[in-house]
Amino acid sequence: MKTHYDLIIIGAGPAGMAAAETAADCGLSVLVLGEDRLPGGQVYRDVEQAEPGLIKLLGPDYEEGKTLVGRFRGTSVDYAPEAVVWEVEPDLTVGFLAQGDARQVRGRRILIASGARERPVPIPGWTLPGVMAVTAADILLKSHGIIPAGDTVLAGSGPLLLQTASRLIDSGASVRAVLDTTPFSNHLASLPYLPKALFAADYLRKGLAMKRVIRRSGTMIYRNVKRLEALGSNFVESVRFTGNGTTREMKVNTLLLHNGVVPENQITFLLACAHEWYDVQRYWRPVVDIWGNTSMPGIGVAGDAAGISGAKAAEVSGHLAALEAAFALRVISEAEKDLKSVPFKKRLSRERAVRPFLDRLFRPDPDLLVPRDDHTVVCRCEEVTAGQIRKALELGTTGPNQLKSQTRCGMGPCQGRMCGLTLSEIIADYRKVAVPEVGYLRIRPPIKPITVEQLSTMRLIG
Amino acid sequence: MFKRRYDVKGPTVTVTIEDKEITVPASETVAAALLAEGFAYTRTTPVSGALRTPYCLMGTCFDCLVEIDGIPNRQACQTRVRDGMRIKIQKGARDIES
Amino acid sequence: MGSCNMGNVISTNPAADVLVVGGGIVGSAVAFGMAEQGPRVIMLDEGDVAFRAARGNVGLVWYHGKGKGMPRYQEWCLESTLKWTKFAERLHEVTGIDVSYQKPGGLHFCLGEEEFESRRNLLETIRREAAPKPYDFQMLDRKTTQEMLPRMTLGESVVGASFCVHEGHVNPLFLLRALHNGFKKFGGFYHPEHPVFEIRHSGGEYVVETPKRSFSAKKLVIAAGNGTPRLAKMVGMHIPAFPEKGQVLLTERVRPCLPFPCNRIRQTGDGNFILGSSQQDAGYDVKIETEVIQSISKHAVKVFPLLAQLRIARSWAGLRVMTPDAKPIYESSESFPGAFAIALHSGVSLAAVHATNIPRWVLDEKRPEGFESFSSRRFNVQKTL
Repeated sequence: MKTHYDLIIIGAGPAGMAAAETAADCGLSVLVLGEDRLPGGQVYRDVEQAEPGLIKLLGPDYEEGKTLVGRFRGTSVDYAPEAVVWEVEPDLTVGFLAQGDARQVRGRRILIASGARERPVPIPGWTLPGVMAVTAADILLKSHGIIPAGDTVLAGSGPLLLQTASRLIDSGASVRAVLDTTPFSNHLASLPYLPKALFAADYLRKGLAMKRVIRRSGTMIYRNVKRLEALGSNFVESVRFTGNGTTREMKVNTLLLHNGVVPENQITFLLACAHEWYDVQRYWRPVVDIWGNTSMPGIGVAGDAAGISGAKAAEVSGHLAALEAAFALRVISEAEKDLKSVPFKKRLSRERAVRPFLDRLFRPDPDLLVPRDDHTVVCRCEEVTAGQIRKALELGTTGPNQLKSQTRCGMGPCQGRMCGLTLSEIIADYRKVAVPEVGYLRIRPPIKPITVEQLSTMRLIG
Repeated sequence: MFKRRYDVKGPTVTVTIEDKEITVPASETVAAALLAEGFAYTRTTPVSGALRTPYCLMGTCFDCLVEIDGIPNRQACQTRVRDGMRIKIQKGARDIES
Repeated sequence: MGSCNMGNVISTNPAADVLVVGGGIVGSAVAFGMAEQGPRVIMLDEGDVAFRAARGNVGLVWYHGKGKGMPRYQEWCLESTLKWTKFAERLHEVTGIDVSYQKPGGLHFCLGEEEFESRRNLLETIRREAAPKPYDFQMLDRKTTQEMLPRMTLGESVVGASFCVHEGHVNPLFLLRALHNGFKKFGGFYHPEHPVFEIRHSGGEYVVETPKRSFSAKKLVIAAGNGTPRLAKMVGMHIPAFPEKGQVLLTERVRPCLPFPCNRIRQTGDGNFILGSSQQDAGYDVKIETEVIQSISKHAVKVFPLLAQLRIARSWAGLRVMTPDAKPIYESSESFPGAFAIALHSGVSLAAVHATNIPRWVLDEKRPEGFESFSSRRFNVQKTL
């Protein structure tokens, strides 16, 4: 590995891999830093080593990742798996940990392709053992062939909810119920956005197929679910909810929660890139153009980190961002960039066309964004409850950073990944203002932990 | 509660979890192994001693912190098992080791 | 329009006796102390992402080593340190908030013989300047220092330390919260999100303009951190304060193992180690710099090699309010009587006297003895007004 590269790509998911391919094609020197052992990100996690039986179970969307990974492996880029980025500086220096050592590299351009993370789902009892994110179950299945034993319930909203439910059922798990919190009103509100293109029908077909799998297995689906609660003392024992008008309590061994995914934007916040609040899906995304340029020179974003658009769109945006990098570094001309980007731009529009509809159909229920029960834990790391946050607000605190100082919310190892959005929502709700007016936690390095030893012995790039 | 879909075949390693020797697939992460082996909790929190198990399994939530080979607070979901590895439940805040 | 709907703020404030501009550690301590006496006090503050030195603070309540060349400052620090225990108790009594003040004594480590000698000389000098009043400190050799710290092996280059029994530490964030809480309990009016852009004197009162509305009072205290020079100028005071950046690292929580706060390292009540700090003239830039935090890490490991194993969880950068001689400025305006300005960087250590002595100065016009020493006139400043 060198210390200087034309392009440093953070993330080895579809956006990162596609960008690497195009950047290498343009003749740039490229370093890809991936956090996991194998390339693929979350959506194509461990696809390289997946057995045929698993690939069949997970379906063609997963299998496509294999081709992409294969092409990535065929490029001449430098690839560092298990590389954990802890700092990115405006001068395009990247600090990361690899094999226990802290290292610095510098790019002439950086591409952030860090993907997405789960939106937190702060329901009462969500910190109990046995309650996990839906994508966690997906990871266990994909990477390890491990599934929930005992009675499993999935709760929340979003495409991944049904997809994971049907995958788990197909893999032999006992899924008792799917509790869909998608508000009924979303169905009507999203209809105007239903595109007429072919693939939308394709998408809807897939959704119906998943529902068939679920129903055929005897799994109950409840809709317009409200007042979700995980109950139990030392581990989750039951889930309580109101669905189809009645309040029920269901015994459960594993409760899987999901309320959509949001951009993994720790790095763009760290760099103080301009962000905008995307109200439909209640998350912050960096302000970018179609090439992924942010407000900071030399910093680009591709894939879900720029706004949730799915794996295929991520791939295409990776190609576009790489072309932009090559152009910005004067390796290709603007004319060449424009020419090469034509098919990608076309594809991107197609892949993104279903988004306005999906985003509105799966608009998160406001009740799941602001915990009403004061006992609900908001900051999992420091065990700060909604009640404690509201109390601090009563005392006159106005913003997330002051609240962090006063309550410790956001001070733990996850550095706001699990609580930052909820914190802003609670403040906005209390003050009766829009979330953009409230702002977000200030993100500082290290964005992943680094030991005093590692930092003190790191060789500075100078 | 989790289980492996199939009997363990392929390469395995022997690790010690809470002083008990267990053989697990070599490709598992510590988090996956702990879940598959049925551990009811993998850490107690420094603030209140509450019981926790991994939540996100992708390195984001930091709920999967355990002690591995004497080093506390390591993310179990980001660490692959290794032959001879000693894994312990993280009990509250870490200590400073001489 | 109108003030925000929080706490005991009502939409039209009655006329205030004193306006405090600045809701940081200094402003809120003075406001707390004044509100406690009975007068109507209004405290104005900025919003959520202000530069707030208060939040970048390490939390030491420290005295020894300060004040060379200015005995009055040394005395002032000692007075505050000795008052701190009662002050913390009072805060707890009024607000129910425990600011986690502990006073185990404090160590200032010396790496290498030269540093040890130079530290000794400094402290001896201050002792001479303080005479005939006592000045408490001891120079401890390495062996004695190590005996005080059974769990924390000292690095090789640590030859000893200066020790003072009066030193302690506190949670500066809880302190700020307690001061605000107490202020409100005493009937004070707190207005966040009201940055002040203009001050004038009109009709016998100080009128203060914020984007949302104006406020007025007979008396005015400007304790607006690095915003003080600009505002103080409007009421006839020249305050040569400037920002000095300090960066600080925080580690993961650790079970208690360091019983004494040290000049650059302390373990908080929650178990995190705070590793500080740097001093840089960097304007208003609050970015974390890798070279700086690396040097902080290196220093920490030199003092306590065992710290190497700890994970850094987060970092802070704060802007201290620095003055040309690093000593406080307490000014009362000659041309605008009843207007006061404060600029200093030891707001936490001095919080106790800020809550007791300064209110008397502002409210009763009883200037503390020897306070001329703290006037900004000591910088031979030209008054250009």
